[in-house]
Amino acid sequence: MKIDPLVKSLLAAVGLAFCLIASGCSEYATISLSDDYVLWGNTSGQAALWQVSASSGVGSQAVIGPYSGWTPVALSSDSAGDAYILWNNSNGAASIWCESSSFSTLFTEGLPATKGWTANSLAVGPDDTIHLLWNGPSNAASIWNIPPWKAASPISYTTKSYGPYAGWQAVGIGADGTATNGAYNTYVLWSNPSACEANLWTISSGGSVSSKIYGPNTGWQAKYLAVGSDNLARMLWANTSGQVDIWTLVNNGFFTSQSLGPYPGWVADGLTYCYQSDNGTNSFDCPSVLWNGPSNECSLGVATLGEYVDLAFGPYSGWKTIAVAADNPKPSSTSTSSSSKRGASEK
Amino acid sequence: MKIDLLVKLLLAVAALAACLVVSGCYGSGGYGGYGGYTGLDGMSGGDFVLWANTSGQAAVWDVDSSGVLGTATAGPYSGYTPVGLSSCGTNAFILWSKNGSALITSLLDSGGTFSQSFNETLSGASGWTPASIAIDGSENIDLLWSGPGNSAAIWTVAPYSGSGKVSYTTKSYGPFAGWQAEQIAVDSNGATYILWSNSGGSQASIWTIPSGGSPSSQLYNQSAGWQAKYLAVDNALTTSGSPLSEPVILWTNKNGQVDIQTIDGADKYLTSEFLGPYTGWTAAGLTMNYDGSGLYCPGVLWNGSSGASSIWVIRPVCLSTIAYGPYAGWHAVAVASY
Repeated sequence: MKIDPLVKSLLAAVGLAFCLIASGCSEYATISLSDDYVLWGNTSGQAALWQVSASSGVGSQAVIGPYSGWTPVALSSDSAGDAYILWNNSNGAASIWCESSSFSTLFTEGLPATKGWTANSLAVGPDDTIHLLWNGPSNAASIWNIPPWKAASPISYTTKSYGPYAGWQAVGIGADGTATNGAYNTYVLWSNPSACEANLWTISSGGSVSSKIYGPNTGWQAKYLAVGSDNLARMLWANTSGQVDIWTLVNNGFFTSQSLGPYPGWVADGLTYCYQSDNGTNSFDCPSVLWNGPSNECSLGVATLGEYVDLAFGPYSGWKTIAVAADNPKPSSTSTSSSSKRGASEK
Repeated sequence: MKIDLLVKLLLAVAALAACLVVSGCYGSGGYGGYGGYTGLDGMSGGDFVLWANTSGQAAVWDVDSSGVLGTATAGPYSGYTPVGLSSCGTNAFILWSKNGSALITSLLDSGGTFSQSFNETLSGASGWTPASIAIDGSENIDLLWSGPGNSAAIWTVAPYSGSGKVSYTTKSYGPFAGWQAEQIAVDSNGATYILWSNSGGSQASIWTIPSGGSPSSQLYNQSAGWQAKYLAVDNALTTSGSPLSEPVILWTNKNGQVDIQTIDGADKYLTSEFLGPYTGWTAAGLTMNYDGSGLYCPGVLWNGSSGASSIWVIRPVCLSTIAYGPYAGWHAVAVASY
C-alpha cells in the first residue's frame, strides 16, 4: 500500500548487506511470513483464488467460473492447506467448493435454500469440520456443522439456530484447535453496530455457549473474526475514521491491540492470520488484514510484532477482493490451524 | 573508590574486552536498550535489576527466566540515590542522583560474579538532578537531567573505561510548561529518544535526536487516566533485515492497568499490549528482551505492595514471569536487559 514491492526488495537487499558488513549479524535471517489465500470476485460472477505472502509476493492463482446465479462470498482452509470457497446462489442456496493448494477442485457440494436465510461465512476447523454461519430473518443465526468430508455423498450436517437478538447480528465464525473429547470449539462473533459492542460466543462441541461482551467502543464496529492456530480469537474493529484495531484475546487479563491507519480511501475487508518466522526458530501467528482501495486495488497487510508489512496489487478491471484465509498447513511443526472471516457487511 | 589503580585498570580492560567480545557493547535497558546481536551463539541474555534500600544502598541482580544468576551491592554514597540502570554487554551501569551531581558506577558481571569497574562523579548545576541513563552502540553514556521548571538536559559522555579524563557534551531543552522529561533511550542507529510526559495527563511526546542532529517530536494521546512513565526501543529485525528502531512507551493507568505501546509512525501502526490491573502491583520499569532470533519482547518490572518484585516478559515467543522477595527495606528501581 505504501512501498512498492521492487523498492521493498531492494531495501531488503541493502539492509541485509548492511547487516552482514556492519555488525557481523550473519546469525540472522530476515523475518518471513507464510502465505494467505485471497479470494476475488468479478462482475461476471467469476472467482479467483490467489496465494499471497505480504513479504514475498503473489504465488499461484486460479480462476473459477462463472456459474450462472452464483457469487463467491467467503473463504477458509483446512488442515491440509486446501481452500474452501463458499458460494451463494440468488435463490438462497449455497455451495462449498474445495480447491487443493495446486488448485485442482477436490469436491463441490450444494446446500439447499431456506427461505429468508443466507449463508454468511465458513470456518474449517483443525479436524476439518466445516462450520457454516447463516443469517436469517430479523438477524437470527444458524450454525451448520459438517463433519470432515471430501467426496462421499450424501453430505451430512447438524444445524442449530440462535436468536434473533435485538440489535445484534452474527458477522463471523471461527474454530479453534483446543480439543475436548476429540471435538473443537466454535466461535461466533456478534456485532451490535448501534451500541458499538461485540459479543464473542464460544460454543463447545456439546453445544454449551459462553459469551463475553466487549465495548461499548464509541465510533467502532466489530466486523471480522479469525481464530489462529494458537487458539486465540482475534477481532477486527473498524472506526468511522477508517482506523482499524485488531484485538488478540489472551488469558490472564492480557490482550493485545494492534492499530492500523487510517489510510485514506482504504477499507479493511477481511481478517485472517499468517505465520511469522524469525530466523527459522520461532513461528507464531500474526493478524493479516485484507484492504480494498479507492479504485478496487487491494492490499494484504500483516501486523507483525512491531512492524506492519504490506503488499499491494491491482486494480484489475471488474475485480474486487472478497475474503482472505490462512494457507494451511503452516511451515512449522506446531499445531494445525483454522481461520475464517467474512462479515455480513460485505454482502 | 577503594580499589587501587592497577586493579582499576585491569577491571577497566576486562570490562572493555567483555563489551567487545560478548556483545559489541550496545546500550541496553529500561531506557531503550539495544541488546541486539547479543551473544555470538544467538542466545538471548538476561536482565539486570536495580534495587535500592532505605539506607541508600543499591543492589544489582543478574536474572533470567531460570532464576537469579548473581548479585552485588553498591554504596551507599552520601546523599546519592540510585535512580537508573543501563547495560553495556555484561557491564551494569548504575546512575546515582543528587541535586547538582551524578554518580555513575559500573559493575562487571562475569557469569554471575560482579566486580566494580569504575565510578565517576559528574558535577552539574544546582537545581538539576540526573534522571535517566542509556548507553548507545558506540559506548557513549547518555544522561538525562531534570532541571528548573521541568527543563531537561542531555549529557553525552564519551566512551569511558574508568581511567583518564571524562569528556562530555551537554545540551539543554525547555522548560516546556506542563511537560516533564521522564526517560532517555537509544537505538541501534545512534539516535537518542526522550520521553516527555504531560502533567495534565494522557499525553506523551517522544523526541527523536539523530546522532549529530536536531530533535524532532511526535505527540501521542491516550484516554483519560493514563500517564506515560517508561521508554524503551524495539530493535527487532524487520522483513528487510534492518532494525525497527521504534519507541516503546509504557503507560500506567490510575486503575493499575498497563499499556505498552510500540509505535511505527511511518506506517500508522501501533501495538498496544494491555496488562492487568493486578491488585497491589505497580509497574516500575520497562526493558526490551532479545529473544535470540530477531525479536524483542517487552519486559515489565513490577513492585508489589508486599515489597516483592516481579519481571514479566510478554509476547508469545518469550512469555515468562519471575518473582522475587519481599526483602525488608528494599524495592526494585529499574530493569535493563543485556
